[in-house]
Amino acid sequence: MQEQVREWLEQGKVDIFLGYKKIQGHPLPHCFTRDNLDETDDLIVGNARYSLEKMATKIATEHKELKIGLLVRDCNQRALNVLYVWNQLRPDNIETISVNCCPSKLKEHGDCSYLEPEKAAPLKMMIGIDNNMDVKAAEEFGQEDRYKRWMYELQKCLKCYGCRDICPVCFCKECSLEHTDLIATGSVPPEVPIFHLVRAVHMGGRCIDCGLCEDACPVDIPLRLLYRKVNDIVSDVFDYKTGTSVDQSPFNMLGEEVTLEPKPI
Amino acid sequence: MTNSIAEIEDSACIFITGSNTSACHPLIARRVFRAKEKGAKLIVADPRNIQLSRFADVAVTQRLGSDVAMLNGLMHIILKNDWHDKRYIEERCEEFDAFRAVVETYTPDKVEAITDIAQADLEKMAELYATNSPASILYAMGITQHTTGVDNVKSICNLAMLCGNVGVKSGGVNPLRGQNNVQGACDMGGLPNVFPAYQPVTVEANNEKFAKAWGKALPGKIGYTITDMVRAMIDGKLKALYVVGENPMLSDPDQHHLVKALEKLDLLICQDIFFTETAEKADVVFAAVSVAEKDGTYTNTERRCMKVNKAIDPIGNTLDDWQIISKLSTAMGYEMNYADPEAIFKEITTVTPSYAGMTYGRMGLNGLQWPCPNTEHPGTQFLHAAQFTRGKGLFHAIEYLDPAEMPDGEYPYFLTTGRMFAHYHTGTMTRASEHLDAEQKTGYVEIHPEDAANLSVNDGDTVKLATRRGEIEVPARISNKVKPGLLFVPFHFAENSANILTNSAFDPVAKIPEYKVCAAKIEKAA
Repeated sequence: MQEQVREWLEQGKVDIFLGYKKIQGHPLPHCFTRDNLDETDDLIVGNARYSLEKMATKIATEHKELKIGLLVRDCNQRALNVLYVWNQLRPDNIETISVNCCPSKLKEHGDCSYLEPEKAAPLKMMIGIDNNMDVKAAEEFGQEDRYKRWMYELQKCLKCYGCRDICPVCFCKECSLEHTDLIATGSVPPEVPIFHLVRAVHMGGRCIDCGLCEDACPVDIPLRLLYRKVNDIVSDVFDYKTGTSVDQSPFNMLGEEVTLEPKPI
Repeated sequence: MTNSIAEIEDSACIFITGSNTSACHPLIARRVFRAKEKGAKLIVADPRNIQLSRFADVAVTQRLGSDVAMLNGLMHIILKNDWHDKRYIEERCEEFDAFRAVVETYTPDKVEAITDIAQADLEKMAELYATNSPASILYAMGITQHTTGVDNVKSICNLAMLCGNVGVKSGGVNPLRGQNNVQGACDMGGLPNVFPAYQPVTVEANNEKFAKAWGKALPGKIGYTITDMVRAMIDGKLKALYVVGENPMLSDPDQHHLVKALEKLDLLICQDIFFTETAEKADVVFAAVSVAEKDGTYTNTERRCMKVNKAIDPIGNTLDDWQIISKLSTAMGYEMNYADPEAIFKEITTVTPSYAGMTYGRMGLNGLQWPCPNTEHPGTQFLHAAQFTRGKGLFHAIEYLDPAEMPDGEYPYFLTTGRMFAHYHTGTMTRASEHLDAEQKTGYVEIHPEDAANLSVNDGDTVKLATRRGEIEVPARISNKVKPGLLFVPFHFAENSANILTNSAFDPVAKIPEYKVCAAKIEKAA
């Protein structure tokens, strides 16, 4: 792998390569370049997950012609597909090296809930939502109970924006979560449930179920489950499986121009 | 903190008072939520309804500045029900009887009259804290920034000792420190009365030790606190002030008074990463590097000293804090020559017993928690395991005292000040961030809906808020977070600075000003 990356850089197949390097003991994302070819000896797969494709997106907005190589696990590849669909990255400019999906038990500083889900604590099971539940199980709660459980979870929100900031498919220049007409600013928790519902709606046809949002959430809100539900709807209604292909998304087809008039409630 | 952040998760009961933890220490709030979900009981006592109040088994909004009465009231109930840890008190503490005599006079009736806490709630709080072990107490500036700040802290210690909660895992007395390195700054002797590791300057042996280490005779007497400095500036006794990484223009109480003091100085030097309100008044400004541009260590709230590693080279014409101080010192005739931060750290370990066993090499990813007396020592997760630093835990008999200023006919409202989640301190850094600025662009005053209705104030209306020190105009935020009669203003914002209003009355021991309580009046702005 290290040799391949070195070759790619030398031969100009890629201009930069995004992988991991151990820095001060942390496996951290690192940009390998032609100017520092010997550094490729330090390239590791690592057990930590970062959204290398999000970094690639940011780099590509400033350097449109740059050829970017990166390590991809399954979730990175799904995210890349979404980013191609939404014209955030050009497939011609991206080269990938596939690596095993979360190959081993994770170390202390790179926890991945996807690999080793933590057992939910008793009170969370009783009044909240177990993050390990599947959509079907979560829907078996009665409507009132279900509402209370979700409200319990969402009221913990510290408004750190970790879920958005880590998300590989969050790339909008203007974020609805910061739109003061939609969501009031200035207090914690943010307006519940609207803050999280706005984000959830935007995850339809975008979320590739990598689980980084849940890893990032300091208060264990079952965000992944929420977005899975949204994508189940997308799958049912449009027969579209987010991230599995580079086919056009039902959400970015241009329709006829409409003016949005407020509708009677 | 006597204990560590991760331990909070395994507490059987967490009592939070004077800390809006989810807004100001979000990653400690994470532990609180997780503890709660694992089955811990949660008690929240805060004059405002905070986010964590919603999750509490019992949440009360005590009257501003009534903490000693509240805590004595809790201990009264614990003693009456025989819930105290008699063996712990007998073996590890002293002066219990005098303390007990005072606490016995704080009957639930009396306490309710002072604190506005319903007796049933007080009973519930006492029962939860005393009967779920180990219990941890978390507090912050809501406890300390009072003229009775030291009494408040001592009362918290009384409560923790009464139930045998000091020196046990997941228990303890846990002040949450507000800055990443304020613990480190205090550890290094950034206080007027101690050398590094809290070695008093008034002890001759300490003076000799440091005089020898630094090759210079030392004054051997206690210096000024910040509160003393302001008075000394006014009196013309203090002529030069060197402010490093602080913005007293916004963070000190009674701003008008402070400005007068600063104007009397012959020399004001300011050292910061941004041009602060204080820097605007300075004669000399030193531009320092930011966290990303330097190596060194920070010691956080749980006494954990951690390595910070330079990520980028310094931007612009800036220097590391240690370089600026070294150059200034050398220019003034005391030569300081250090090769790098590690050389300074090595010196620290030779004169600071609690850091003696630390080296850069040993820090690893997790750092080390002091005390770490030798290079084989793994560091200390929680303090006072076998005995207290002074030997026996000393109970203090403490009577409740009113805050320095109480509402009256002219200034009928209680005013308290503090932080909100999106900004940090005087906003020097956070107001420069686009996203945080978007979250909260200017100051506000929280006012209860009933008070707002009485004043015909709508949400967002500008109101005139005045105290005996000064007045500000600020938008009203109508909120149930405050009770009727209570106003809250965050102090991050220069354009409607809360500290124009605050009272500089201070605690007689710690000299901390009473930021948390004063009397105010409010009216709709013309």
